[in-house]
Amino acid sequence: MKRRNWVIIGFLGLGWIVFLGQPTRVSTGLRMIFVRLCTPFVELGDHIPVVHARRDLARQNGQLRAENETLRKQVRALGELGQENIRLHELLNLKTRSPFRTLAARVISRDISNWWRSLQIDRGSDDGIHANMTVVNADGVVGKTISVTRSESRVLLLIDPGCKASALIQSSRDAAGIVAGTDTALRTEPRCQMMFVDRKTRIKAGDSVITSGLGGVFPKGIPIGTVAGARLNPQTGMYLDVEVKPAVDFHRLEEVEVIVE
Amino acid sequence: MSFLIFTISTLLLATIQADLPTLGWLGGLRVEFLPALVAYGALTLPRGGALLLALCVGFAQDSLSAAPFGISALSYGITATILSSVRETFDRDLPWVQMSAGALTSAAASFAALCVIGFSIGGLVKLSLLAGLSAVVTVVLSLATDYWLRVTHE
Repeated sequence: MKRRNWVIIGFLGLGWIVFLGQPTRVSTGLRMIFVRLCTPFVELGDHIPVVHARRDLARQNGQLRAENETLRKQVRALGELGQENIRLHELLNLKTRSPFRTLAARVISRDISNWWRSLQIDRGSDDGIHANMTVVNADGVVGKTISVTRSESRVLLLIDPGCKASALIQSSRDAAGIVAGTDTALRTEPRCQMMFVDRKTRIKAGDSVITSGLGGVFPKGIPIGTVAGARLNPQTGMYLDVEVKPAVDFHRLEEVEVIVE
Repeated sequence: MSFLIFTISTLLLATIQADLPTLGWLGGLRVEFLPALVAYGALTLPRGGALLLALCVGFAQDSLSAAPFGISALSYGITATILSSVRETFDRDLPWVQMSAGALTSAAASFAALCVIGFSIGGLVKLSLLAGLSAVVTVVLSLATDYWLRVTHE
């Protein structure tokens, strides 16, 4: 290879390290330009036959699912346990956990790459959204917003290795840890891993995992998933690695809610 | 004119890549068209054009992904530079040359992603499968583009 090519490669590497490797104004500005350029084409997918047919089915499916979600919310809200919880909170004179103020958003695109897990929603800073807001649906935590333009946002899914949430096992409240995605290998059913769980903790398959509220991004008490298995971390031998099956079906996300307050 | 065609092709292929369903029988992999476009550009366009196309495709891919911004552009840019410098020594019309170019481009982007995420056996298997998929897609894209160019010239 000629010397000139090495110089080009060197400049590319240096340019990336200096300007783009970290979230600088240059990288943010450049990303925004490309997001604005690409987003209309993402919407254009509605006019490509193979995509259009799939989206039609997905939309019908989404409507039915939205109806189902509403019913499930009603069932949950009226459940005996919910009532009991409210009464107990009143008895203890604690501040009742108010429902979050959420903003509904439509999923307009999924992550184009095979290595990252994110999606794009049709709400942005004009709707009051900013980075690091929690995104949920009726089943539980979906992820958090990472980059926001005026009219759309990118949501890093909980199953991405870069998304970390402080969590605890619902039944034994002292069993806390960090839940993160493990989705680098080939797998059709995504899984998360709960790390740094005390080795003495008694955990059984099927236990519910919820957010603990620590860390400042995810509010307390939102379902994350259920325990699928646990084993001692082979490297440290001090903690349990808990495999968590996410509560959310990440293959079928069409509408989500962003917690704005 | 050709740059405009390549720009529109990039955006359209990105749209299709984002919207097509994943392949369940291949562990949920998504077919990638953009590495094939970069490889095709590196084998056919003038050197500067190939590099510019690679950077634009990389930035477009990163903007539609949660990847650290510019990481795909960096790997595509380096691959396009290498491919365009060695392409004279090969017959670019041969399918295996196109396949190798597509596989190399995809593998470079996957390698960059693994550098961020962390290497694992599963990750390396995924890298190999994606490289194989891109190799096939590059040949198909080259055939389709060459056919289209021949028809429009006639």
